[in-house]
Amino acid sequence: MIGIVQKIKIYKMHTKFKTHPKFYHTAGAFAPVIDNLIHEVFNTPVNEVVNEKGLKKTTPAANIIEFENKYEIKLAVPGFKKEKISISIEKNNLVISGDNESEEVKYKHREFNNIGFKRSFNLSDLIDKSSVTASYNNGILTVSLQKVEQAKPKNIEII
Amino acid sequence: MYNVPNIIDQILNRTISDIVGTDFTMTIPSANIIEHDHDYQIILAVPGLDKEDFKIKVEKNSLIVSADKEAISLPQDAKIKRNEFNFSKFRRSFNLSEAADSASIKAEYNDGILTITIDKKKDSEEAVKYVKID
Repeated sequence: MIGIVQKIKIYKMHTKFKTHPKFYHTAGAFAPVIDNLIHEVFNTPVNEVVNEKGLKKTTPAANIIEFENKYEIKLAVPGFKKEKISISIEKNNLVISGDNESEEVKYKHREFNNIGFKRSFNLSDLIDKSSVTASYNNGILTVSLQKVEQAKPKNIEII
Repeated sequence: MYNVPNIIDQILNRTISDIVGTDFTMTIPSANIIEHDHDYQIILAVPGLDKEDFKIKVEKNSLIVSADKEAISLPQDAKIKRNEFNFSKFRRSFNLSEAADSASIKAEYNDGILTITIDKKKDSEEAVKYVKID
C-alpha cells in the first residue's frame, strides 16, 4: 500500500514532469511504440510462443537389456497404435517418436498424456545398424539391435 | 488450459532425463480420470501386462487396482543396462464418490491402457430433494 505522503509526492512529480515541455514531447513520441510493444507481449497466447505439440511430447521410460548377441530397448508407450510410431537411424542416433491425434477431452484429473513422445539413443559402433527390428505389444515397444560380429563374445579353445 | 506444474515438470524431466538418463524406476502407473454425464472413467497407463494379471476390487468406498506378476526371468547372459519402468507389481486405490455405482464397474485393457468405467447411480441426480412449504 502506498501511503498518503508518497501519493502526494508521486502526484507532485507527475505534474512537474508533465508540464515540462521537453519530457512531454519525447514521451509523446514513444507512446505508440511502447503501447504496441505492451499490446504484443500481453496479447500473444503462450502456445504461440512455445510449440504446443512439442511441449506435450513426453519422454517415455526405457529399459535396456544387453544379451550376448544383441541389445533390447523397451519403451513404455501405452496407448499408441504401431502405425503411429516411427523409428529412424541417422548416423549414430536412433530416434523413436510417436504421434497421436490430440483429443478434446476434459479431464477431471490428469497424470499422463499420450499425444506424442520422442526419445533418442546414441548407438555405439558395435551395433549393426542394418539389422534393427521392432515390435509393439501391450504398450511396450521393443527395439532389437544386433551387435556386429566383432563385438560378439568368442570362445577361444585351448590347444 | 495448461497445468503449470505439469509444463514445468515436462520441461525439466525432458532435458534432465535426455542428457543424463534417470535412476528413477516408475512402478506406479499414472492415471487420468474423466467424468462423463453418466459415468466416470479411470484410465491407467500400465504397459507390459496381460489382462489376466490385473485384479480390480471394491472395498467399502475404494476401488483397488493391483497386479502381482512374477518378473520374467532373463537368460543368464543378459544384463540389465537401464531400468526405468516396471509395472509387474503395483497397487493403486481410488476413493469412489457416493454417486458412483460400485455394482457396475467394467474394465478393458488395450495397448497398455487399462480403462475402468464406473457408472453413476441413476438416482444420484434426484438425490437433491426439494421440500414443499405448506
